[in-house]
Amino acid sequence: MTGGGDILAVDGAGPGEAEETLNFQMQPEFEEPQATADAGPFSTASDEPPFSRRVLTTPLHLSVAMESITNRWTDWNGYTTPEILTTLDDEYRALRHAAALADISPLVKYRIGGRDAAIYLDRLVTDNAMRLSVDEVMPVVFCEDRGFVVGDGHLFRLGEDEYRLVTDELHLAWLLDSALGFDVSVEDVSVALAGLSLQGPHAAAILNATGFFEVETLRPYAARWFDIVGMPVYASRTGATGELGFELWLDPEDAPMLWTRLIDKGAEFGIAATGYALRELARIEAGIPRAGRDYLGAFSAVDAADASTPFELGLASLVDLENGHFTGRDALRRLKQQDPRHLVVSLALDFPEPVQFCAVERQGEIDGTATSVVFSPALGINLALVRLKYRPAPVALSVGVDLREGLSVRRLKIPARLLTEPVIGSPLRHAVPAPLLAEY
Amino acid sequence: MRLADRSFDAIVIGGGHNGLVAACYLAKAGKRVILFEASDHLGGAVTTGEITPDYMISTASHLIEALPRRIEKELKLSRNGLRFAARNLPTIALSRDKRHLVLSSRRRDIAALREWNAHDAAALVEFSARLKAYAAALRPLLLGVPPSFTGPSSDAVTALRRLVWRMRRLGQPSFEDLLRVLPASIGDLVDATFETPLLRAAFAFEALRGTAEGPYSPGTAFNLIYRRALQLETRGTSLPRGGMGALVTALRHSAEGLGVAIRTGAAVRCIIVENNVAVGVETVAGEFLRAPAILSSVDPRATMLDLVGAANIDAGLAMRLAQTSRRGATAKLNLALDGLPTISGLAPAEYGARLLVVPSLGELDQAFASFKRGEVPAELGMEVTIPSVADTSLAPAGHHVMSVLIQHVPYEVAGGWTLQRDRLLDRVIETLARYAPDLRARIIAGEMLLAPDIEAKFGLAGGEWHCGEMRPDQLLMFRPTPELARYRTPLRGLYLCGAGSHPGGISGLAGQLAARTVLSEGGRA
Amino acid sequence: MERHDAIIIGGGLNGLTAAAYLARFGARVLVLERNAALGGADASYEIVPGFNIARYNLGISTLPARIVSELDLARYGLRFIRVDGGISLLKDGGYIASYRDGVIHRRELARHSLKDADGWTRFRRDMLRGAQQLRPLLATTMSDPTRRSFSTLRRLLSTASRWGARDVDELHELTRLWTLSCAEFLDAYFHSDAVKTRLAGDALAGTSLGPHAPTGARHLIGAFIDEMATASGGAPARVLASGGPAAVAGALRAAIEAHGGTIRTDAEVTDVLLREGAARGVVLANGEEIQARAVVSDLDLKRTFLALFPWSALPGGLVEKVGRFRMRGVSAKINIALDSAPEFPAVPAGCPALLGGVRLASSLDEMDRAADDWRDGIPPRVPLIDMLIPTLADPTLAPHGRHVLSVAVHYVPESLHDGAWTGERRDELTDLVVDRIAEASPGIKDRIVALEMLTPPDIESEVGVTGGDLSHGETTLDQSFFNRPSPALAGYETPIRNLYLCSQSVHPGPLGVGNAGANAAALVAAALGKRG
Repeated sequence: MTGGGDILAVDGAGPGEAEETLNFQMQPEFEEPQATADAGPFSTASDEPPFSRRVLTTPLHLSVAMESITNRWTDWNGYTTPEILTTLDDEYRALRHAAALADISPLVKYRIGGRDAAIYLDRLVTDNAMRLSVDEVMPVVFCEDRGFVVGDGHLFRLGEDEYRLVTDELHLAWLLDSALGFDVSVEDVSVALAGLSLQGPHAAAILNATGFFEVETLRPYAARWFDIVGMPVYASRTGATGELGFELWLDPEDAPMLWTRLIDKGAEFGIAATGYALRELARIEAGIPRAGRDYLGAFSAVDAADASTPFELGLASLVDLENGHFTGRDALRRLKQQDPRHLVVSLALDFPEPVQFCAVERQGEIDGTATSVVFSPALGINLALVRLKYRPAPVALSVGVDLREGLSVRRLKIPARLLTEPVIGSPLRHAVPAPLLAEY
Repeated sequence: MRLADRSFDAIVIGGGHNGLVAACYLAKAGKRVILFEASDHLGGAVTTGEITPDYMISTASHLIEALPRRIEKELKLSRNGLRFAARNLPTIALSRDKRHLVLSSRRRDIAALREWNAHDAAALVEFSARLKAYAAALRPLLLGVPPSFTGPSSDAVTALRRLVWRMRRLGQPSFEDLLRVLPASIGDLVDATFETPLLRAAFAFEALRGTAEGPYSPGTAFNLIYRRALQLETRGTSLPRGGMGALVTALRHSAEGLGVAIRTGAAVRCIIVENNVAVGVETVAGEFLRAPAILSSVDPRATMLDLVGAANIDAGLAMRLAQTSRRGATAKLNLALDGLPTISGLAPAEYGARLLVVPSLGELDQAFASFKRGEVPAELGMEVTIPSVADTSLAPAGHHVMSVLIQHVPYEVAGGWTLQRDRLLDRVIETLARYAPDLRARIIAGEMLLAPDIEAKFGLAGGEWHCGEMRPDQLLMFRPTPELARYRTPLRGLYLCGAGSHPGGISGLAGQLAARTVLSEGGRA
Repeated sequence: MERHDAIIIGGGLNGLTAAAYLARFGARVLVLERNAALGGADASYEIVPGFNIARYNLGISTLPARIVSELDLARYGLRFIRVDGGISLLKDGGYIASYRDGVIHRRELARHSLKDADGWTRFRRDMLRGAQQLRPLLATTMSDPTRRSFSTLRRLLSTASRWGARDVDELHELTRLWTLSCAEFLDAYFHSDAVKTRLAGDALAGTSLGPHAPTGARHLIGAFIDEMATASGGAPARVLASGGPAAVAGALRAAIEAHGGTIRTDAEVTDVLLREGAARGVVLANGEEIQARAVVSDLDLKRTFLALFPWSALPGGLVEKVGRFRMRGVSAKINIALDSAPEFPAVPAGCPALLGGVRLASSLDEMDRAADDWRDGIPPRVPLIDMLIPTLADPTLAPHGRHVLSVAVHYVPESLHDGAWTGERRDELTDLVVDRIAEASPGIKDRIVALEMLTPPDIESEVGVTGGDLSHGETTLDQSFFNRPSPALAGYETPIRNLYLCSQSVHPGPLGVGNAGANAAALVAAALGKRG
């Protein structure tokens, strides 16, 4: 039984039939998607040969599929994931003005435990991980010996000796190699843990209504366990959207139930289920580079020039060169004294319609590559993350875009400007307590 | 006296010969130095022990082959009691048909060979000359501080450019030959050079001694050049009076004379690191001692992973250290004998020589195959000395001791050493008895050290004698790893000075060059 | 008497490539091939009517991409089929496959080790880096570093400066890649023995090195040499010529003839005509003399000098030098015609990697034993067996529903320590291999329509390559780059004026067959005053 079949099964279910579908989910014969998810995209548990043409789905696939009116799917870490469920504009509106719910289960999750977990992680990441308290989260970046970024992610401290690292890409080999000399265990728990993201000004209010009492008191990057009708859910005030928001981590078996409850309780707050395109849009608006897209991890960069230091990614704030050793510290100390080779920066292109472009020019020379380009619905302009050759003095930038009109192409050269800080960032995202609807 | 009452400029961890040499040179330069040795005696695997009461022998390594004259002189080892029972030991390859071969290019020996095989006599003269020329061309690169690779104006550029000049100066045919020999296997090289099977096998054995490779492993020909380069610094193969321990005793006297404080039975528990600087050591006894320079002559892997700790070094470095290859392949047999065994065909004067017992090249290859598979080889290659011939102090009058290095003995064998130990011993004695039929009857006592014994006894990981095999990826600026080469470490104030650093061998050069590095930096600047 | 600008002795792929280039450059070329079929060791034949199969090698012969495009071979009918990398069947009854797709390949690795699925990323990066460094060298003509001239010295010194300025970590990586054994190098990336066995087999099949022999690791680059450097990819693809290896030779033939070149088969050259120390033409077995301004030999080094010349005519020392060059065959070939598709129960149905071939290599240890057997001059007791069923990818090679099975048996010595390769011993090895295949593919014996076995001596006598060594000389480091075959000969020129080498005996050897031909052709064209 493949995910493809499952999509067909719920295709007929209109929005009005949501209640019925909920029951659907509870029926034992529909546990199949979970069994599929247990196998995971990269798992030794699977008996199925890797080439079998099955659709790999997350535990939330059925629930998410119910929200899809466009039937647009994409691949995220090997999982079939919605790209757009309704329209990007509607999903975007929910994110910025109500709340956007998304399935983030395809993220890679590692459980790190053991007596030396804290010092192991402190040596792994560039920041001082020793200061992370239980129930706190920190954005982290980790480098190899030469100071090039291997990957980035979020580090959760779940207990005294228990951590979770959530990343975009696989890092098991590096995590295990780094464990030499430490009493730690590293385990890929990606399939054992489902993730939901609820982002937007009404996020706290919806969670509150769903039973996450006093969720508003969570500070940014804080996390706590909640009991939602008997389901243990770990909620963290995180999310790469520049918006007030939370991420919810729980047993895959419970995930569809929580999803339904959130959709249910969130209806009056304008909640909308959203897809991967919105995640990308929000991330680019917030100026957050993604591994594999805007930069290459040190172990995938065939050309060493394609690898980046944290400074080149604009992540200097995540590097603490003073407190304790970490892998790459000596190299980064040296590199800090030098000019970066390139910089990953946000670029605004004041042009009123969506365009695609790749090359960024400075004084007539190609000086950079646009790695992610989006049209910001709120700003009505194009935003991009670009990798620019480093120049000490500011120089005017431009991009060449091909505008298609019917079958003909018009080439335009448009001035672009560098953004020194994210164009969009809700002040609510720092507010403690987070505003509930009444106060909003 | 409590340690904290005195202050030191340098702490040396490990009292092997390299640690002692480093301590001496630092003290000579006026530094106050303290040396910690975990065991009760200095020297590590360079030591003299008792097989049975009154029979003394060099427990592990048994000849000085690479100690530079300069170190001998500068540390006044002779004045400090180092005497040689024999110098310039000839090497004789024993033959089963009693036509033993002296491996030298001296006229007399060549004349003897010419009667046997004229082609090989000529080939040997040329081969020896070439080997010496290649060694001389590579010596400056091989025996100094490895060049630093730091960009277009680095000393590596100069070093390599000079190497080009020296290689060219060899002349076109030799230059061409060297380029071919460097990556070649010793088996292919001797096959193409000599006709006599014994000559082939003897040189193959010489190249393989102490390595975990076989005669047809590519790159093994280089070992001959490397060893020859080390020998260029020395006065030839020598036998210290009183066994190898005498070298260490002399080094100890030299060190003490220079004011080095030596603490034996004092193991260092860890190196104290504060903000990326090595500031001192803590001993197992719980004493703390700080100094601006800390030199470790113990295994680089143990130094960085155990004493410094993985948390203080980069993950990649830790991994590379863990991956450094050390496959112990040499076992040692020490025998006490009630008289000189009769080796048929060997002149009385030749009993004191370095004797090679080598099977054929094919059998050597078989031995390597057995080694790879964790089996006791059917035919064994061995290096034998009877030091008591030249040094009567080692055994009671008329009695003798015999020292045997056995090549291609694996660290682990199928069935376990408990079962296989006697099998190996039998095979060794049986092989030796082919040349010295009365050997078995003369044995009073013996001890055999296998790779696990050597590991346990001397702390050499894997029972590998060099603290990291001597291979292109583990030599020069790569020894023990690129970030730990040139005796420096990523931690300021911490230096490596042991055999795990370039150039290795029982030469003391690593100690000397490390001390020079420390002095040039003035300790922790 | 005929006159030509250049005569190419030997119609192997290098010889044909050289001829095609020279013809394009406007030279009047003549290719002389001893056998009836072109292609040399890359020739194919009909084992039974209608069943086409590579006769001497596995049948994965292509040309480097640059040669295909420069010679415009697509125009002359050359088509490629890109397939997955193949499958290795393991001792425990399991299997491991190589897929081109990054996600699928990682999933496959994850079946064996979750860590190795991620470790692939770094391995692939390092292989692609190695390939990038090696690729330009393949198209470069080696110059003799020992020549006594100012320009040589200047070049050597600038090489020294360039290497001295390099990053020490990079140099260390490079040293590890070029000096370590396959097994030890792979240990730094992978945990699973299955993964290591698969990769070591890819690298070492067809070489004399076992997985524990130093310098074996560099052969791992081979499969990546034409691979694109896209991030997060899978295993390198295998490229087959549509229509089998014969199609490659066929396209080259068409290209040569389209540019006015002549090809004569069944024309064995017995001597090179010498006048005043320069080659002036050749003599055929039938006594016919053909003159030319340049003679280019695609024969192996030993055959070129030791068979085409009286030894007395060669400069002093050359005979010894040539004699020292090690050429010892390592592979035997079994060609099988099948009346239906073989089944491999260990491999799940529909596995696309099956098109890339099946290897019977149960462990590194067994490979090592086989390599030791080769050195000892005994037929391998557990040979490394590479199989390809080209008819899966290209059904036109056999009648509908029928198949051919191409089997390369590696670590087979050319000479046995205890006598000659008798028919009996050949049959023994054949039975051993067929039994091993039948273990992996039950029922295959009943499907066999025809079977033919060629040992290295058989290959030597048919193809003419010394020792039956399909790579024209062992590919150890002391026989690579400027040492292939020796500093003075590595640049395709020889001490005999107008005589050039273009076979795999010369740099870059078997790495991208065709390169030597292309490089040599440029040199010959320049000497002839022709240039395209």
